[in-house]
Amino acid sequence: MRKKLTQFWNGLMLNCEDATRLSFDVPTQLELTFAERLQLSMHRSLCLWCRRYYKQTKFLGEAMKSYRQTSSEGDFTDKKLSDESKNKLKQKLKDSSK
Amino acid sequence: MQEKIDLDQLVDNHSDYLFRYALAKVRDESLAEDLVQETYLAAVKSLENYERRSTERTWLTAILKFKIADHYRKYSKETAFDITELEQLGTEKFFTNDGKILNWSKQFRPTRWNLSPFKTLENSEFYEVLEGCLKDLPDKVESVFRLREIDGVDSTEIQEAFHLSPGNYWVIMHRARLSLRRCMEVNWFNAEIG
Repeated sequence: MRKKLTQFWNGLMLNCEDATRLSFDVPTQLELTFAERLQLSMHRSLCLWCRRYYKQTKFLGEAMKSYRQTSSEGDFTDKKLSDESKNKLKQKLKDSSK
Repeated sequence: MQEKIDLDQLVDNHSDYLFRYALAKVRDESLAEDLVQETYLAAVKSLENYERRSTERTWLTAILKFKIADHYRKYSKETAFDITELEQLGTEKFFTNDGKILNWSKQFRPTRWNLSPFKTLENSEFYEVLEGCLKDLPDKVESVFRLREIDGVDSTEIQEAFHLSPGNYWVIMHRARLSLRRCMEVNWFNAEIG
């Protein structure tokens, strides 16, 4: 009886691997069902590690978004094409437009 | 009669801008240089079609964007995604296979993080470690993950460009997240630096 109950319970519950998988970036073709969303929130209410996983991974996602804004300008503003490659490029253009 | 475009000036005026633009997207200086060169060569070929309705820079940038997209397309064809690349991440060790519901393996369970701005977003070393962790991902996984998380490209576009099924894409993103979180935990949040 007890074994049956455990089996039933386990079938109802997500394990941590599934819970972490369902947490982010679900492709629209595979959207979560209502049952999955319910299972996910049930799992998180019991599992401190998965709560941490969710919070921390979400945080890293936001950090990467802000990283995009700084890196598209900030990191590269002082980068230049070397004079040597510019001259090579000019020569190539001349050759090709002849 | 159209005045003739001075090619030297075209290079002097815009090549640094285009180089930085390409670099921000592909993050590889020699590749960025190649893309800029291809852009100019294509531009010269289509000089007659350029009708000065747009500025030179807009025109060149449009060509460059096309070249970058083309690069990703070629790149994904040359190196078809090998799902075994994911094994390098070692994320299957993160969970046990014993049928338990709470199945994080003991040594991989997420620990508490100090998320104060001082320890994170306002700390430039945080981004260096983050960049290092991204570079640690296998090449293809890194490209997919960066395009989604940093460049904000739509997931269906990424699946098309890399010829991935939604399921495979999902697996890649999941493993990459697990691996990145773990890497940041070990190398930053639990490390005695910052």
